[in-house]
Amino acid sequence: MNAIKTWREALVIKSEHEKYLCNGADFINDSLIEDLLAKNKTPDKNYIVDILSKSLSLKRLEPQETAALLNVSDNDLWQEIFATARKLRDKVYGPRIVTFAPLYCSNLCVNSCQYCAFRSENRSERRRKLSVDEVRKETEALISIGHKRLIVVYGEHPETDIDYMDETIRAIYDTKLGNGEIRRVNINAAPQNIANYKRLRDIGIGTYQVFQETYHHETYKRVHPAGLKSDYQWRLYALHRAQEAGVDDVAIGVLFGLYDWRFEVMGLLFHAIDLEDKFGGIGPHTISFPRLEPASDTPLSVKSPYMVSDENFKKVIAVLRLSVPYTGMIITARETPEIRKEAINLGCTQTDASTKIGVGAYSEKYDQQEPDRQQFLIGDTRNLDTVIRELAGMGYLTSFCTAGYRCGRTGVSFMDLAKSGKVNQFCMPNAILTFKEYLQDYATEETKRIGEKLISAQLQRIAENLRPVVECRIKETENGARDIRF
Amino acid sequence: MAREISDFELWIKDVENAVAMLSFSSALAEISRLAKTKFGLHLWFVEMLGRRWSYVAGEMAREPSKEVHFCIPLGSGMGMMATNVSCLSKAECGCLIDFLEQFVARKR
Repeated sequence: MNAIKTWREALVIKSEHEKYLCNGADFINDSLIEDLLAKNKTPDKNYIVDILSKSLSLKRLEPQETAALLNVSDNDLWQEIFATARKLRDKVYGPRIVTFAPLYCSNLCVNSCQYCAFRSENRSERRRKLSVDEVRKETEALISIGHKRLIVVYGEHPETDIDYMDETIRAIYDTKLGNGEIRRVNINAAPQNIANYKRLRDIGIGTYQVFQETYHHETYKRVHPAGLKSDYQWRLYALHRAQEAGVDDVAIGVLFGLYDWRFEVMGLLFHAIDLEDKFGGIGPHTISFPRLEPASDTPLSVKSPYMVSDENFKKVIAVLRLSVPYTGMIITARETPEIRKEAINLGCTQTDASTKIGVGAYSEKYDQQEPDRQQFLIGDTRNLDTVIRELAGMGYLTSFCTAGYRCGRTGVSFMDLAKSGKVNQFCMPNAILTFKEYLQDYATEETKRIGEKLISAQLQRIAENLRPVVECRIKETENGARDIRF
Repeated sequence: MAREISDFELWIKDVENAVAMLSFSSALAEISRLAKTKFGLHLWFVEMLGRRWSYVAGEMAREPSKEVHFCIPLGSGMGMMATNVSCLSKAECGCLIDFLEQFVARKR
């Protein structure tokens, strides 16, 4: 207990977020959100049409506009909203989806999140922290599948502190297997202080994710009764501190099912707005919206009154897509294949596959899910090749691209490109090249066949003056070149 | 008509004078702007952090180039990226890099 206390006291520097408060209040005003939702209860159809038009011009929505969308009750109008979300997705991102895998390094945790199997008082969970060698083995297993991008997940515990994170991230980046390697390491971990974020920045991580879980203050307090995570504001300003430290690719998220879904969508929007306002237009790189899923010995995970239906989940995705048109959106293997397909069409731009969320599960090759070493149960356990083939059948090219953050397209320069709708000019050629690498090195014959057809089709969407260059680089990839990027 | 290397060196001298009083990132932004105005060169500066080359300043290309990116470490954790460097001769590139390496070492 003393070790935890010492670690906590060294980690939490309250002045680093208190300077952002206004008379002690943070930027999530629960009453304001509820007021906005109440005042926009019956939006006029013409107003909604104007909002959709604004989204299509890639302008971020104002809170009252998002509130109006969330309150639409007419089914025909919802179909128009969904259609606009699809149109926007195609306009900004094109028919491509970025893929990654999660890598859980430990399930040790000091917190008591009532919805999570990792909570400290859950005795049925088998606790484990991977050694650095074990992390390397997990990484090799992921590379052998074809992955190039990871989201590395750490519990909040002194044994998985910044030193452990530093060591394991470097080990992941240093691991090579044949033609494969991990080229981008994103992190989902506990809030850090500025000095720790500077260390992570110096290693060269991709994106740092901290999910607020719920923006509703009272609910937050109830579901986080103890541990470091019980401090709402310490968590809320995590990404402000990250940006101050120079980590300019950050990501937000909510665990849908803890409180009212409309409120949470508004919370996400206010969070994006505050980051943009404080950091020169640099908002979140991605938004995630996991839904509460059954977890071992975790009653709240199955009986919350705020569970989100599939139909409402589609509304969450569409409204977020329209509210922040230029921000990536992640749909994970928590969801079933059917929901994922719909989510991708409505605006999600990143997804995972071959996902195993048990600690040590990739290299230990277990086939069944094991609730006592997983944070929750996932809905889609299919392997990467199968998912890629299905996406290809839908017309989506799977991208393993990591070019942006290695070419200076980070922070403000990335945001400028994304907000102008030009990012796809880089992303699609890079998607084609990384997809080609996958087909060459890892794909089954069936996936290769479908994949090559898809590449030929997507080449026709590349600007005429650039097409010969892309074709030339595809040829270089066929001849063994790797990691060519625009 | 091909430029004389001495013309390019004079341009470098002008750039050096133009940025002398500016802060580090403002100077880098100005160097990039001048390179684009004079030669059409897209030149931007990054901080090299492991795999991450994090944008610092400059006129990043806003569309893919037919040429491969030119990526050069400049020392002190800084790097330079450029596209369409074919607008400069090999000697001019060398001259530019020498100047930038010294500039970064002095100002960073």
